[in-house]
Amino acid sequence: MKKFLLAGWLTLQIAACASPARQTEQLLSGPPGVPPAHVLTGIPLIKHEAGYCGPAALTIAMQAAGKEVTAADLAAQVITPGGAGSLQMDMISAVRRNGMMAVAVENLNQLVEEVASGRPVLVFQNLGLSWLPRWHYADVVGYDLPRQEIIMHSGNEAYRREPLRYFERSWGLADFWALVIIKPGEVAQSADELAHLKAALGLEQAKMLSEAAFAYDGILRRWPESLGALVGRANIAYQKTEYQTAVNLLRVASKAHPDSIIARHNLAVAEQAVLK
Amino acid sequence: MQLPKPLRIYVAIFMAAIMTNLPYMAFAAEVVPAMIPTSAVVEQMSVSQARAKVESFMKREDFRAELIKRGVNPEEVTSRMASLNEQELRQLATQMDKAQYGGDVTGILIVVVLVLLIIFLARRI
Repeated sequence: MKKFLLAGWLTLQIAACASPARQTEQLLSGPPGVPPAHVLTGIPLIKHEAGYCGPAALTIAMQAAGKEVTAADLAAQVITPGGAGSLQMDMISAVRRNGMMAVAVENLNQLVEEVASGRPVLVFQNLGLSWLPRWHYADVVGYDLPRQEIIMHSGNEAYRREPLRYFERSWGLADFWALVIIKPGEVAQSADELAHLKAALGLEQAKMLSEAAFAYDGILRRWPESLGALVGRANIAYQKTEYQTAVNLLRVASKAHPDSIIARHNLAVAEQAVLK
Repeated sequence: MQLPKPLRIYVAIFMAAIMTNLPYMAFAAEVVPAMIPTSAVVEQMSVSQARAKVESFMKREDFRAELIKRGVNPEEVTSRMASLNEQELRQLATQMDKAQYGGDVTGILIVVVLVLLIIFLARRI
């Protein structure tokens, strides 16, 4: 049995080696509706010491999204003492603790769309080998499709140009992990309803209720029948004892999604609360 | 150590009361039905999105043709997919997403077949 698993794993590895820069090829052959090249100007680089690329890259993205934070504040929130670096989960929870939304970006097309819409993208890379990793955080701040280059604030270097193919490799070795940071109430250009819901839910679970409410409202402006946003917004209203608001939202939810047992259950609970 | 007898009786009565669910029943009237948390909805949405992704993929003609060419019965694969649990389904959808990039059917096929093999073999170990 173990042999079989090993064989499967090896095949996966070989498949991974045999498919270099597929996303780059797809992007170059048919870019999404974006200008061929775009650079976000006026994004300050945060200089930092070795091991602090996480908080520095996060600060750049947070400040670009309009949140006033310093790299020192964020370092205290994301650096794992003894680990010499920051874990991805810590990065996301730091975004939430500061009342912002972390929305996942999953592929190169999406990444380019976000940059074209004016948002830097925080990326995680492995600059080493798959079996000898060297992890790194950086911000994508531009791209140049005719020259097949990506432009990054990386390390202590501003607007560094790198071939797209190299970038895809190092990004892929870090499992294509990337996110954009947005203010609650806004929506990212490329991400779908679910990605936004997860970010808003993160705020709700971190007890940032007013930020979460803004986030759900923003999702509802873009996806007016979003079940998750309606239920989430109603849950916040309920927690704030605004029962009638909760009822109104859940009525919309049950009408738009008659199959949702959760919407109906919560509607019944909220209606009972109104009567009391 | 022994407790004095009257105290022992009180303790015994107290323990007996706790072990029945009388205290719960006494408070049951005050329990208000609770709202189901948002996370439950988001979870459901994420599973159904993954399922839709996998199903739409299984319907692709080129994908079915590739499977048949390799002697794999698409219906068998579909029925195996149906028995995946939610986490496995989401894993598969993520893998498909990653492999799909670039429209390389063979790449996805390898991933799908391997994921299915690994999941089913792992269950039997």
